[in-house]
Amino acid sequence: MKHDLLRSPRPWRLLALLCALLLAATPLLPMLLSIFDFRDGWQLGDPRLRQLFLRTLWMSAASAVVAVALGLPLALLAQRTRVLGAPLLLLLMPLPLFLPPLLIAQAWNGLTGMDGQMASWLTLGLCYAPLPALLAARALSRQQASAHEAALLCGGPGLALREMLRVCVPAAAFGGGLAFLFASTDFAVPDYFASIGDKFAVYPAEIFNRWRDQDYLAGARAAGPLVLLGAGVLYGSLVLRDRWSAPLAGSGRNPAALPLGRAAAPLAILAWSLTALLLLLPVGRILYETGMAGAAAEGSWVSRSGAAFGDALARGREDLGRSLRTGVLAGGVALLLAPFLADALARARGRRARLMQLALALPLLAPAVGTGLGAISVSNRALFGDLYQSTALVVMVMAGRFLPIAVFLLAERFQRVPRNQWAAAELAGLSYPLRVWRVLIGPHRAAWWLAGGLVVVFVVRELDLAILLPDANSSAAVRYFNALHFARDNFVAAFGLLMALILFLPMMLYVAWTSLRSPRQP
Amino acid sequence: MSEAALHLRDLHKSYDGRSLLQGLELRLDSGQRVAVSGASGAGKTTLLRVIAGLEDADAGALEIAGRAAMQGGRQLLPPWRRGVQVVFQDLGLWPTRSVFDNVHDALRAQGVARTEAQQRCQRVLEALGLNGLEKRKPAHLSGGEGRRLALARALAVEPAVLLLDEPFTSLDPDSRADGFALLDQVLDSTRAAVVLVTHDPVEAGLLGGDALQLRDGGLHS
Repeated sequence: MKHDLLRSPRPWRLLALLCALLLAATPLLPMLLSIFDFRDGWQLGDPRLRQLFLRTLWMSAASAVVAVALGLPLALLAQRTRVLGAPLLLLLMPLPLFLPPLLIAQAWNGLTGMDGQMASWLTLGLCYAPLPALLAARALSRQQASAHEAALLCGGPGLALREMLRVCVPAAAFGGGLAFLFASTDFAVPDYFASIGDKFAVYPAEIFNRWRDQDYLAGARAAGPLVLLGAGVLYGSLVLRDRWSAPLAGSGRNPAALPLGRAAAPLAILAWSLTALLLLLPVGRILYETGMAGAAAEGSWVSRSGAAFGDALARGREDLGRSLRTGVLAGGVALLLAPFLADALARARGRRARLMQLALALPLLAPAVGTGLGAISVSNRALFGDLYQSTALVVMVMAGRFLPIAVFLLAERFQRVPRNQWAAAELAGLSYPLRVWRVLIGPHRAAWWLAGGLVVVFVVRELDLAILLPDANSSAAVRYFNALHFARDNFVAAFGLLMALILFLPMMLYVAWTSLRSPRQP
Repeated sequence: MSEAALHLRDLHKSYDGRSLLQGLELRLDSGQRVAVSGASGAGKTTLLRVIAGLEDADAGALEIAGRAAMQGGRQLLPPWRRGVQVVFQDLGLWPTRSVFDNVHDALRAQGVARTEAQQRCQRVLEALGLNGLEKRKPAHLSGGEGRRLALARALAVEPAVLLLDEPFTSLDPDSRADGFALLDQVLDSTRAAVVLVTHDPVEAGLLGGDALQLRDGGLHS
């Protein structure tokens, strides 16, 4: 009996699922229940709310179009051509995703002076362009090498490009769907652009306003339509992705780069321009702002910038430390739970897999302000003592929200592990946790650490939730938010860049690890 | 001497300091078939990839249908202008396209008019016993059907040189014999010079042409 418990996957997966439900689903409950609440003509019965919802829809759709329009060509150029610096372009591609969207908003406002609705959807499109880019690049890297070569032989680069597009467009469209979802639930960026320019509101602001009115449950319930929208769009995107893409197993060879001929130079300029739009210009602008006139406005740009960084470190050290501590704790929880859930997900196929993906992704796709209000309305009761004020609540809610990132990353890696290795470990009598550790995590140890690292990154950059949960108020993201709304000086820029450096760290460590350990291909 | 469909002279190619092909020579006329066998790692697939222009050689010259495709190891013609088609070991079918479109796309990309492309497509699919499967995606074909589709796509564009990289290796003996019988039949109606590489000497004998061995970097009878 004891041996059965240790060897059978079911009890372990069930335990992981129960923990995940406790962490992730509890704050979602008020939102999920509100979907089935049809009193007063459902949540969107009020014409004002309907208008807000529709505005959020079209703004998010515009963000998704921007994300795909920038991400798809970047993926093609960086992954499958030899434009100048293509490996570096690939390395930089995910980084904008790690930056707090508010930092990118600040940078683009500084660069162009734009504000209002257009600035909001454009900035969110730039923030989430790495999603279609990364998914398209991954699809392109998996194209069967011989299918690409057959296209080259039959029709030259034109046909080869068409085949590459057929491979990567479904993935990019799926990334666009995700960009739409994240843009539709963002509160901070539209709030920032509305506060400095033409006034407008989006649906997440409506949820946030209920917090200001201290009507937490109503706020969480107001988020219901966005959760339903998220679930619908995600499921639809998964169906379309599965229908359009039809992968065939290849020989394991990497597909060759597309010959560019005389177009190489202009295409290299295009690729670097796209990277500049997504990363280099915003980071460069923020760096420039660290040396602009501010509280310590003396001396050269270098001395002012140095002083701003010193100031940011001195004033923000404790908040950064607290954010990191919360992030590391949430990352630790994810490292423990994600492998078991990822194993279950990696084995699912077809509709079952899509439903599992949907259920697992829901905490990430629900509006953070709704999750925060849900967590408050559940935990702020005498029954739970001081939980509402504690770090434990922040760690639980953050771990639950960002666990899907770790699960999806690991599931993708676990799918690559040959099933006979698993069967051999099973026949050797290894317990289930040992099999997961040795057979699944073993060859993907770097990815396992990266999964935890990404959870840390997203916890540190999370603002909407941190504003709402009392113990997270003294975090780096909230300090940055308050400082930016109070005064836009060189402290804000330096503090934002310090955060960015910390957020880039896990990815850099992962790249260094994998490039040191991976054998060189002939 | 008539113009050769394929003329490869003094081909040299090495990988990681190991010399794979050393002064290799091969000449084939239109319609001529040759089967090249050799041990794993002898350089069979590399030979095909150099002929197709998918890989650079260190040295050597190549002419295809009278046109210089490579000189001194330097490519003079890109792969898509050589008139060469390959049936890859893992087939290289286009997974999102139907059986019909796999062949039709290849023809259209060669500049064949839509109506003519459709007719040629039907003809070649019928010749290879794929009629009735036109709407299927490659993932829904059997191993043998997939191989026939790869062959149909390669033959439809009427190449000067057809390269076959172990096309029937993973099939059972009966299916393999059927495959070669069909191959023999369809090759009779083309003028393409054919190079088949295989590690199996029996398979080399089934092609019905010359049989050569790739050994020590060169071809031997």
